[in-house]
Amino acid sequence: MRLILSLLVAAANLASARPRYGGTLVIETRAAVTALTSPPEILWLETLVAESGPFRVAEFTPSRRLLVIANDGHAAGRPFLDQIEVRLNRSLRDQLTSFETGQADVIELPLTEIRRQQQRNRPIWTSSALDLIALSFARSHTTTQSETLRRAIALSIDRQPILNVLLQKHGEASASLLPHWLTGYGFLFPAQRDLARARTLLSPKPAPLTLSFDPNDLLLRPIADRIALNTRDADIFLRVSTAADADINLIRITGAPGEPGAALNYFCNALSLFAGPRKESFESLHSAERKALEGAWVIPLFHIPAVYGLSNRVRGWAPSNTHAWQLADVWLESAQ
Amino acid sequence: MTFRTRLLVFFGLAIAATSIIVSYAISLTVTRAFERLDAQRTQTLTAQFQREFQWRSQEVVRRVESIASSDSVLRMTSDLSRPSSDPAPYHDLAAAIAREQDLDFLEFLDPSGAIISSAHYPARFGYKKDWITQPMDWRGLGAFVEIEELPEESAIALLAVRTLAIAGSTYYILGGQRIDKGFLDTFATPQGVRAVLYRDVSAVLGASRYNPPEIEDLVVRIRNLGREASTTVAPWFEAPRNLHGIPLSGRGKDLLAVLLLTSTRDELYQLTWFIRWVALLGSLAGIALGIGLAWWATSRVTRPVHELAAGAREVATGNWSAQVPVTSQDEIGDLAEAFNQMTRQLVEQRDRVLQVERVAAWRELARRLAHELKNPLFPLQITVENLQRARSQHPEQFDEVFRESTATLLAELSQLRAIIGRFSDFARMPAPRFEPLHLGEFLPPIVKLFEPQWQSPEHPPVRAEVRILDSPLTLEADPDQLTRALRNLIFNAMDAMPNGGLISVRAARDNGHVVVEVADTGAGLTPEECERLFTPYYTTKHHGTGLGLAIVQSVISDHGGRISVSSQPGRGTTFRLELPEKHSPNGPPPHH
Repeated sequence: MRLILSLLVAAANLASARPRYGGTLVIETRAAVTALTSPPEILWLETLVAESGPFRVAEFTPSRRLLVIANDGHAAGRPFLDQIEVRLNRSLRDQLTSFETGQADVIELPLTEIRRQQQRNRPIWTSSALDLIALSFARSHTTTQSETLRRAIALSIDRQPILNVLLQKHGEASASLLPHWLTGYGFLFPAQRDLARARTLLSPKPAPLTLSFDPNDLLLRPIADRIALNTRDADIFLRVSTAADADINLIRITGAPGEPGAALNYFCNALSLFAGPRKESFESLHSAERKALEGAWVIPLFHIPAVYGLSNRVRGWAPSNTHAWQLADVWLESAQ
Repeated sequence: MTFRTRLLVFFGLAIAATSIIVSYAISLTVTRAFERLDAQRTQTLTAQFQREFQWRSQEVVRRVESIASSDSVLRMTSDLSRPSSDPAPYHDLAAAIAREQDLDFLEFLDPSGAIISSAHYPARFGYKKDWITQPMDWRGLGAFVEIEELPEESAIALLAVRTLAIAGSTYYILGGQRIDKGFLDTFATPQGVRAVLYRDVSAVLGASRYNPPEIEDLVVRIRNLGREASTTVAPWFEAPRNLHGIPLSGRGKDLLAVLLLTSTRDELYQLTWFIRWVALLGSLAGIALGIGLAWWATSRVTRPVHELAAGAREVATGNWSAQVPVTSQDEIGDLAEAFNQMTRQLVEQRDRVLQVERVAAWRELARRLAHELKNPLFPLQITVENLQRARSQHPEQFDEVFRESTATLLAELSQLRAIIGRFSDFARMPAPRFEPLHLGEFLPPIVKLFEPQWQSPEHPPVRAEVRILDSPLTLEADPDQLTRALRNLIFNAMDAMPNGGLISVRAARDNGHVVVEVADTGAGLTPEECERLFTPYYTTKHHGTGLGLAIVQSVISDHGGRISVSSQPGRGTTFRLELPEKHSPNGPPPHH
């Protein structure tokens, strides 16, 4: 009898572990995709809209919605999911609401939510720390023309407390465009605070500057406030705002590829930096990156992972360090 | 300024001054009454604020104590008291609890004073608040005022601190409420009163930027006194405002802010302006009324004065019989009566003088006529007696005597006729016939007429000179009468110099007149002689009729001029004739 019960439990476990076909996976993202012809901003979206991929585009409303359906004739076989609905241009707050109410299966999570989701046993997918948070100075503003001022700001920022508290120790403090874990030479770009040197660089006292951030990114506001507080210690006054035409922008660049050279190109393109020609070596990469950061028009601050929250019915989510998800292997537990 | 104008000005000023004094007194009384009311109102408000502030303080203390004893805070402090604990998970705790407790400020600080979590300035985690770790009886202190930093500014806060001792370490819980407009709006201030938090104390005390001077003075006074103070701000053409400042001091009794209770004196201002307007209008009306009354009064007072003045002017013009009406029984009436009496006496005295003078003149005329006629009559009598004597005693010589006697009689009769002719000429002076005369041509021949006489050996040597000082010099006059007058003067000059001398005839223009002077270097005249010189029949000469200068004066008077004499005994006499250049038929009468 006990044997029979054990066999029944094992069979039930086996049945639950076996992939099921059908169902609609709902993904929400902040990305506002306006055209499918243009290169997609995020890698996982690329696999959805590829003509020979496991899914075919059924409906696309720019910046609103993308609906893909299973490609029955896919060479690798039909995906488990019938369709995937991607809701575009959704703020983190809206995504959290959808996630909490069961209306979304995959959402972007702010780092501060990781602990709470973990406490609730929600599965989380975390990428490698490839998202770059950096300060970018407006080149056309007269208030930002002083390189010593830009360097003083860079020296006045204490990255480690921000990483420990606001980023909950996810990612790494960085002063280079590429993360240390990817290149191994990140230590060559010092990221330590040197308040005394920052103060010596400032003569005369600079005029107040404005620091803006993307208001839809919940992570950036406290970082911007902390940076303003740090620079105030060096007698540099930054007024935090969400104005478009600010002197300094706190930006977060997501979706960088995992290959160092491609990632550098990606960041340089996003930040309008010129890295120059290079060879396929880390020495050349380092030189190119150093050249790109000349003038301190961009101050890299952190490399953080992208974090996605998964609903409990999502199964088959393959671990990956990059955003190149294998959505054809994903299936939903409750799908009929 | 006339008497009436002076009276009008006096009355007007008196009424205006009275109005101003009365309105000022009313304004002062009303202002003082309002000030008393303001003081009472401010006192009430201050007491109300202090009660409210005390209640808020107790409420802040209660909430902070509640937080300090909450499970979440106990869990946090217990967790952090373990070695290698991570404060990062508690970064947002203060904000969450502050929302629950409705506190504007909440911070959790570790034993070193570093901020674990801040509700009002989340970015300040890790920064230290050194003052909080200093020894202090936080429970005994209660709530206190402090300046708290915010991301964009600083704020005045009513704070309380409580401590939690965990495993030998002390954690701090700091919470409070913001003292701002919302805080002040909860006070039930009466209409016209506003509670304003003046936070720029450091700027005032440091004088680093512009502040209204009244507020600066008030803040400095409050700091020096260490207690409440008041002042009044009175901008031009705006209602004054009362400022009552209540100091908000921090833990160290240092002045952090001032609660300003401002109450407008709008009602007082409007009432004061109303009083001023009423006073102004009353003054204007009073001045107008005063002018009217003064006009009426001064008319009554000055009319008799004017009539007296007119009467005096009439007297001055020669109407000595002028009378003024006596319209009152007061001093002015007495004055008018006295004036009338004076003119009556003047007329009576003038008539008496005229009568006396007329009698005297007749006597003088009779004496002179007798004297003049006696001289020719004596030869006539002698001649007739000679004729009678010759006819009776010497008939043979009668013819010769007759011939000589008749010649003598004829000569004496001629002398009599001449005497009578002179009297007749004086009696009938013809009206002058005016024609232009060039004195440069007119005067020299008159003088030249006498030269043969002066040059005769039996006559004492006389020199003469004619000087025309302004050329050309003309005047309108009767040449015959003027010649006659000048000849008389030259005759007199000759008679005044029995031993010879110099006769000067000078002519010049003087302010619209022509002045002709005839001067001699003779014996001169006494002042008494000068006074009587122009009286008819008065003469200083033994052979004169006393009519010469009377005729001269008559001629000059008929020409609208005047004659005067100046003389010093022993140094000669000068006659001065002033004649108008142009004859004016209606010109002013000559003045003597």
